[in-house]
Amino acid sequence: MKKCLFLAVLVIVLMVVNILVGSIYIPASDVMSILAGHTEGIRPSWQYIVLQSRLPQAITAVLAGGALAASGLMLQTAFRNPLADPGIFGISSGAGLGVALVMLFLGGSITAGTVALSGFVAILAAAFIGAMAVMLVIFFFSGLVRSSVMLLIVGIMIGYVSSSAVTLLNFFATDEGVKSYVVWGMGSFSGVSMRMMPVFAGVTLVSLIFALLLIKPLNALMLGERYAENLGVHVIRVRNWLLIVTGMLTAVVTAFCGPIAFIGLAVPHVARMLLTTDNHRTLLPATILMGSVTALVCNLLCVLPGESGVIPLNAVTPLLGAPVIIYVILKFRS
Amino acid sequence: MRLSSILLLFAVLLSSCGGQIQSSADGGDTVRFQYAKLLNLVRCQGYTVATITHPWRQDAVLHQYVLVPADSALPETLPEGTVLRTPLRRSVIFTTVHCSLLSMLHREQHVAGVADLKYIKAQYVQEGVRKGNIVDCGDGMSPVIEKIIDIHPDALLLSPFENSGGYGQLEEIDIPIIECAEYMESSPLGRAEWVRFYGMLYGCEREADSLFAVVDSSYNALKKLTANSQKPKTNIDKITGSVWYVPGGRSTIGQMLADAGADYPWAQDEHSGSVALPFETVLERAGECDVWLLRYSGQQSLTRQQLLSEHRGYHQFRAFNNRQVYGCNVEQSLFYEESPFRPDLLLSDFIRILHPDALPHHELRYYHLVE
Repeated sequence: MKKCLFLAVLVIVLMVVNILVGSIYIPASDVMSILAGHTEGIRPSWQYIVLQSRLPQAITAVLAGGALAASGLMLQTAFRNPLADPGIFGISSGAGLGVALVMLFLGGSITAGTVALSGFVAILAAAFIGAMAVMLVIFFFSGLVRSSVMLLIVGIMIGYVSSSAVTLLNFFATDEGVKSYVVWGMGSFSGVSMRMMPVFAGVTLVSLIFALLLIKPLNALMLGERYAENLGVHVIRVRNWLLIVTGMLTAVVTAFCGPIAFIGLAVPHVARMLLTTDNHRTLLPATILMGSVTALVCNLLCVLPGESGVIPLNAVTPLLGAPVIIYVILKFRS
Repeated sequence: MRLSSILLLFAVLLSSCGGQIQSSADGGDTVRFQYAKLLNLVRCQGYTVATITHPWRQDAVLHQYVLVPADSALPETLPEGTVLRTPLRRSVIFTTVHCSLLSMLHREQHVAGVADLKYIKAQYVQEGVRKGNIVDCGDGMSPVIEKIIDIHPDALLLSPFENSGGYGQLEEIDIPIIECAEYMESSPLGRAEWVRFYGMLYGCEREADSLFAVVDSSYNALKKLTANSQKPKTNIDKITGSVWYVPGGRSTIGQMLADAGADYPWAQDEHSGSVALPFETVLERAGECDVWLLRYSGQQSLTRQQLLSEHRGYHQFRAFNNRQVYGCNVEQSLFYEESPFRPDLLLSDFIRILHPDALPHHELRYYHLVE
């Protein structure tokens, strides 16, 4: 519990640092007065940067990091596979396929009947629809295939199919389209504007609450499917719920932030080793918080070059994550 | 005795136009290039040696060519280099820029094949492929080698890339590769001056020289127009996803903005390519700009509404609120096709937008007001 509290404090501190530090220098006192609502004499562009750019970015990092880490943990437990992560069921590649279709094939907009979406909303909708479509397919197979390993393989196959479709689309696309798609694929927490925040935060938080409700069956699943069934857990039903929750979390995060690598895979391991427990009652909250911490640190590293540019998020997450994982493994190997 | 014979040999080598790259400038007539830094041409008896300096490695040569007129016999001794029999009659072109260039030089009939057809805008190419006069050789990065061999071209024109690891199988088929490195020239006029080299290759030297003379004089005349006027602050391009790619101060666009009398926030930047910046940096440095010139690609003309739907933050830019946003649709206009060899046309657009009084009668060619 103490560790969770410590992590929660760390999240808050890092959030403040994320709002204070960005690519351009804004004096801390000015940032504070903007946050407090005293805007007299402060440049409007700074107000915009703090309130509409850095603040939503920090909130997004907290939620997205937590969401990815939580779904990683749940999938690792449910499928008893330490290498499972939110990308493994092809959900993020489904999102990628949706985005590729819009960016590379439809020229950046979707028209369906009387509804025409363009710009960022179109990308968002495409990613979400793509992720949801893959999730439905997996869900369908989950009813047919009993073995978890087989289901994982089905998921991986779907991932391959969507990536090959993306490759084809890229091959026939314009260079601007390819560039936009590559940039999307690098991931970023800056995609959620304050106007979108209620949607993003709402979906993520509700899904996380559902995740917390799954703690008990998750603990039972740790013992193996047979034992879990003996304990009165309906394995298939739990698995389906898990799919819905993790699918929702991955879909919403990928839609807004692009496919973010590594956090979902690595953070649960670090959390497990630091807490030295497999009890999801503490493990899940700790994993969520640690995911947030990781995302915030990565977001901070992205703006490190300052005025001269940014580093893409997906270049930072493994760079930070891999050494941490190796360190944790070495330290706790006994 | 021995020493003197070595000296004599050395002198012969030096005067014999070529052999070694350094010595090629010492014999023959060097063709003067006023702006192009990567090109070195020396005319000798019966042939011309063209040396392209390596754009990415210091003191290295990218490629050396020996141009021998097709109607005269091949001289017995030739300096090292890829031999090209000029004028070229059947070439395979890999870029839309060079397809348009050949059209400017009225040498369309010498295009035997193209790669990356989907990117090529020149009408004559699209039509030629439809009629079967021009062969579509597939994707530029992995062309259909058999088709290329089949049409017996006398040269392949393609753009070199940094550290791309060569041209793969294309290097094995014994067809001269002309590496069009002009896009690595450091100045717009340097890039445009390469037209003179292409003129030599296609046997239209005089046309090419006079084309460049027009570009040169009109570019410099345009530049003078704005020399003494106030410099409007100018923002450029727009965000792609989470990154705003801004052309560096040394890039062609950066230099042309300076020549057009613009106050470009990244003018002091040292990059010759672009810089990837986050939104907040661009807003901080360019938020107060008077004019905003952006490039986009799409089927339709961009509107203010669409711009806002891409990023709400564009509202923070003064140029946006003052309706001073000009867009160039690179898909619908010939921006990329023409501007490398006709920088004067693009400069006219810049000046018309930035200093309307200096060029009151010019009609915008690439850019349009975003409404």
